[in-house]
Amino acid sequence: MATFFDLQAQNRKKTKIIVVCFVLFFIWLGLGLDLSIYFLGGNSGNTTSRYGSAQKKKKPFTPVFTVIVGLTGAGLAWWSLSHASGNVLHAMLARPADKKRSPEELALVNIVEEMSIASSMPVPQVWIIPDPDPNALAVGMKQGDYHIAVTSGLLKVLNRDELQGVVAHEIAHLKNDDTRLMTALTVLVGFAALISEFVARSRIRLDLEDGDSRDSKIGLIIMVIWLITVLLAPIATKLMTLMVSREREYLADASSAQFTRNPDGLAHALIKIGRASGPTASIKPASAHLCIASPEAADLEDDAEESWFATHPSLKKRIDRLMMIGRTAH
Amino acid sequence: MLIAVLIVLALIVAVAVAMVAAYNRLIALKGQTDNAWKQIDVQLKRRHDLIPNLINAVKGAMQFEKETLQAVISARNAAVTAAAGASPANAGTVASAEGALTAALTKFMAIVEAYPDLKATGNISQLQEELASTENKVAFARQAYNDTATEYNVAQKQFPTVLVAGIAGASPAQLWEITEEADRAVPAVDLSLNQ
Repeated sequence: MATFFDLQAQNRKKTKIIVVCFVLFFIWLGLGLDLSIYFLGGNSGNTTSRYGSAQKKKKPFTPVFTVIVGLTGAGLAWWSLSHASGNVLHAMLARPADKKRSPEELALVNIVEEMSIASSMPVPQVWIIPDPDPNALAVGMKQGDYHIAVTSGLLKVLNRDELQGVVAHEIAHLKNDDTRLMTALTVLVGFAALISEFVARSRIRLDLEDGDSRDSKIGLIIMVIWLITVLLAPIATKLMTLMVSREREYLADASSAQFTRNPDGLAHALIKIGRASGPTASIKPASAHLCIASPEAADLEDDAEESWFATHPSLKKRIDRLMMIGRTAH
Repeated sequence: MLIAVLIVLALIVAVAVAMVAAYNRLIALKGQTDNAWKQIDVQLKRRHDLIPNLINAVKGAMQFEKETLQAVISARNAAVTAAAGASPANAGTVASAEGALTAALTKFMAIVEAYPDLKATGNISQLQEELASTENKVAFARQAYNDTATEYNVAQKQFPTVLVAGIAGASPAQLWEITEEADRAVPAVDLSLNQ
């Protein structure tokens, strides 16, 4: 008996776990290097550490790289949140929705207002993307900079209830701070790739003349594990980000059900969006995680299995979960 | 000895921080509940303001339906009066006045449906959408109020917020329940975008 409140709690918990893993991973990126330098460089002998003064006696453990990696990561994440602005919309040739232009746009603007009331959110700006493929996305980092855009194709195929479900899903992305979370994670993935690239290209030379001492063995083991994780970092962080993205999609679906109290609306909208399985040409893959459904055509196939590389869970799974909420609600 | 003192001090600080956090959470929830209640007010007013427009748009074509029009107007005026002194305490009065208005509007819209000429003009279908949306906004404002009030009420009983509920002046908020039969009736407004 899962209500949307249970599902939301579950999804939030999963996101937290993944984000904690993310943080631990970055700590390890710094700490692993520090530890191996400590153990390798500290043994008595003629080892000269490249990273510090060549002392003969054991140095105190100084987590230089942990601090550098940690601060850079936190700084980058903070910077991306305070600077990235939601002006990807102009790149999609979006225009502001106009109440007087057509009955569909009037209904859309009204629905956005309804859903901001239901979610206790400020009313976002509404945009229309001229694209025949049905899709929608949310953009914005902070109050006063919230935008929701839908394609003209979406307005054509959905009825009012279905449109309400989709708009509620997008408002939920804004309310749950997914735009911020995903931007921060994306920047960190870039940072991990940068570290990895740097390490892969630098020549690492280890002087292991005293290789039989216990410390240097430990240091060597840590160094090898560290190297492997660093080289795998870009892919690992990317996969974690995508896992977060998929959890946030489920969360937005469950929140949509909370705001509309009508999970069937969104379920039917997803069925219709799945049927029109062309790619949404005007939405760039970089914004995919903010859409109602993946803009890539291949991800919308009926038999598409939930891939590790997908930004969204499979439509079938999402529809099943919504239907499950729908059954328990009555 | 020093360590014991430090541990006790740390514990006291931790408890104090937790209490302050609990207190702030209750105050924030209280603010949200009040705000959600005001949102209902705003939407009710919107609905009341919309009705004169609607009446004006159809007045000419519906000369012989004076009774229905009059019923909507008087129900609207009663609702305006009830909404003037609305607070969570007299939610029942407001709810029943709004229920009567909904019933009158439902009947009115059903009659509008019977005038194809009237329906064909763009103005009335636009007003129909506005009316449908306003009804939704009232409903969603209530829903948001009930969701927030429930969270506030639950927090008052949960640990550790229950410990500071008295200091924060928290008291259970009344939920907006649908009591009138008329209010349960769903207005028969055709909402499909694709016709």
